[in-house]
Amino acid sequence: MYKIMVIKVTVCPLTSQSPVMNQATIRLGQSMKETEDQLVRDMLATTATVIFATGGINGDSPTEMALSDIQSVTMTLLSNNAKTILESVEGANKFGTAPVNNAYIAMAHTDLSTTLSNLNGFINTIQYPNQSKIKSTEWGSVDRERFFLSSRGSISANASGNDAKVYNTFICGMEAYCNVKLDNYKSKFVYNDSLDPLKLNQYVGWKMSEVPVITNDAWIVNLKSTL
Amino acid sequence: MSSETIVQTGSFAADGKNKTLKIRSGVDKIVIENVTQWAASNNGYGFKYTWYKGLGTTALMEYHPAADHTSAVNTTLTAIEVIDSANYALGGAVAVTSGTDVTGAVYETGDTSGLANGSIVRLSSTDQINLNGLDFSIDDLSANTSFALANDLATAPGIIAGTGFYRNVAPNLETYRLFAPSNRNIANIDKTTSEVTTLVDHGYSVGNKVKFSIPAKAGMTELNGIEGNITAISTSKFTVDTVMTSMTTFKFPVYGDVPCQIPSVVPVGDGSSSVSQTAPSKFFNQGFIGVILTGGTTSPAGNSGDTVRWTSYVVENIDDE
Repeated sequence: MYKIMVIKVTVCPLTSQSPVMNQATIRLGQSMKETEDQLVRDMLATTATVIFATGGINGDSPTEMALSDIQSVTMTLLSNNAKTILESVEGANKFGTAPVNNAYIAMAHTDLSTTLSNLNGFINTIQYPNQSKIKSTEWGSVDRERFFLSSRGSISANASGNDAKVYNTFICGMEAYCNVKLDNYKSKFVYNDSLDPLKLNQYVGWKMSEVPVITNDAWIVNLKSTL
Repeated sequence: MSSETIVQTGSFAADGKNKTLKIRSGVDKIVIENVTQWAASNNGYGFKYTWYKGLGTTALMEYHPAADHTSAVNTTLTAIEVIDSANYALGGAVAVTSGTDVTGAVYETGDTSGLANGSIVRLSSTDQINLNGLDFSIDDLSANTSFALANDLATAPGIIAGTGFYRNVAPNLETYRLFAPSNRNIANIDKTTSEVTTLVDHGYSVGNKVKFSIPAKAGMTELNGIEGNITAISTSKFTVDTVMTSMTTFKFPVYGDVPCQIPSVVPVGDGSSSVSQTAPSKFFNQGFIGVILTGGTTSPAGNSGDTVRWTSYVVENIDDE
């Protein structure tokens, strides 16, 4: 179980909200969901099927990501009957746009943004015909993958043949992994304003009781690459 | 809480390797007593170690200065390391001066600090480009001289290593990855016995179901994508219920095969025989806080055959000045 608690040991004026607790609450909320994300990330990094990028030209092992590597992943997922998660974006009569395939979701580190942009056939999100179906973290689409970037994306430090960072890009189909509740809850945000006898202290915290798990290994791939 | 509270105590039979103690509430002080060496009269052997948080990785040692029961004191460096396994830091790059071209390659280095038999290392920038970037369990450690790959490859790398680097990835399997069982690269598969050897000791259990990923350059492509149930295990090997006798012989990709995929195996769940499992199943979070005791004659985890008792404390106030 993961948990964090903040205790404010001062009297809270009844006439106004406590700015300290408000700030703590905001930060704890961020902490809770980032912890959850990191646990899922770390689980995927150590348990998913691995494909090394070999189509690049940087001479490292693995190489940088190339279109052929992404196509290999697509072929693997398709042959394993993985369903795509995102629906296609229909073409429209707008300059500079292109239709987008129904796609698997690829979760990658923000350092890969340039590599992705330089891939043959890459479609930036601004080129999607319908801008209402774009998430803020989406970077673009290539082949049958839509890429979502995060600065908390998975990196294996000094794990390439030339001692460089290796980036783990998780490409998954529908229902490839899940988070399982333990003790009948996943995460709880807890606030108590008067637990002590004199009712002076406030407590706020979160606790998490869940485990991420791959439900079908055939529907998720870790594409390892360098820059 | 009193000023010094015992939070956990225990004992273990030493195997000469680094020993991990999981201490659920953190630790400010540990006393480690080697019961075997306390009773014995081995010249130069440590029998009691005391560690305080402020000492870093150094411990205070009492040892036998002669082959009798007299005692003397000293400090011993790199004795204890406090860890949070979820955030275990990768070691720095250490020079490797050479490496042999055999299935159980031996690497020469002038610095093996922090390593023990069973540690996991990662090579880089050697001429053995098929091994660079991969993690290996090691054995046959010779202090500040050499270490060897613990689990033999099916095929020699194809070239001597030349100069390069290694990094200490983890002191032992418990600290290697947050979730277990996790995927492994494959060193060898014996098709007559269906026995699989992994580069890093696998940590799997009987009853686990695994799936193989075998690229063309590893030969045994008939096994690619196949799932098998684990029926027997040893530290570095496991046997599956898949018949392989008619398959192509497995080989580990040689340096001329790079760039290539590395053969691997990934746990995909429990087999039908899961009732016989002896360890937590897929996937369990094995994160912990605790300490790693270094093994050896003048180190707290002792030598193989020693019985070691330990007691950990937390204190109310640390008043280091």
